[in-house]
Amino acid sequence: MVAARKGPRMTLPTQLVLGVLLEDPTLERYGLEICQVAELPSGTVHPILARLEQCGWLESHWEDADPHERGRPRRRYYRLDPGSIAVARAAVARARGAVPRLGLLRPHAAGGT
Amino acid sequence: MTRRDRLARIRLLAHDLEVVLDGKLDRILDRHLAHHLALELRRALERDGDARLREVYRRVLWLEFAVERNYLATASFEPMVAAARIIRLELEPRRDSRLLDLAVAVLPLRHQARYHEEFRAELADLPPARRIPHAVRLLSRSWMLRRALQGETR
Repeated sequence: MVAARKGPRMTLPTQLVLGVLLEDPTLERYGLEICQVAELPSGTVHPILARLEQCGWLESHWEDADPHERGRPRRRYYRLDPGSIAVARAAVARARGAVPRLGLLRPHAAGGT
Repeated sequence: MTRRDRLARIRLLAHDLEVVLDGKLDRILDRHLAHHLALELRRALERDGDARLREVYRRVLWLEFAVERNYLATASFEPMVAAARIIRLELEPRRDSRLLDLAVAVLPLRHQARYHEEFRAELADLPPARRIPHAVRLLSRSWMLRRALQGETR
């Protein structure tokens, strides 16, 4: 499982999605809910969730409910893989730590001296 | 007649019925026409086993009953107009569903069923006014999702 060891690219939306999932790693959330909590435009979370799932950080399953009783199709619930919580938390912390450093680099780049 | 043709015909009948009912049915001729259309609509629906159409069929039965009752009581026909409109809207192809179909069509085949259900569940959670914008955004990101899903085999 080489893919499971390789982490995803830590873009800002990926960090936001992971942030939502890390708030309470035992809590299962569905795509639209993650999108709303992370305040991301709808549709952006699915590619991120797919990547996180493929690298083994995330697990998903169908809602255990009868669609006819609920009156809607089943939701797909996501949560962090228990074995990847620490790795994910560290990756988010690392990525967030990198942002201020990038910010410090900007004046030099703009200044051109 | 194919299922698609039959649905198109039912849609047309329901629309005609709505137009007739919107005329308030204050003439005996309209009442007969409404009955005729309701009967045709019912027959068309009876020939189809779709669960959604069974619900429409239930509404048609109620509509027929309401036509008769309202005619006898010379009361308002507003409830019937509303019922006919609901029938028509139920039978009309939904634009958000078409957008979802397109969004899912670009995904790898083995993932299509999963995301179709997942996206439909999301739309069902949204108020009607937000469904089409959401479906458009899902469509606009579908190639990105395709690339993400294909990443697993690379």
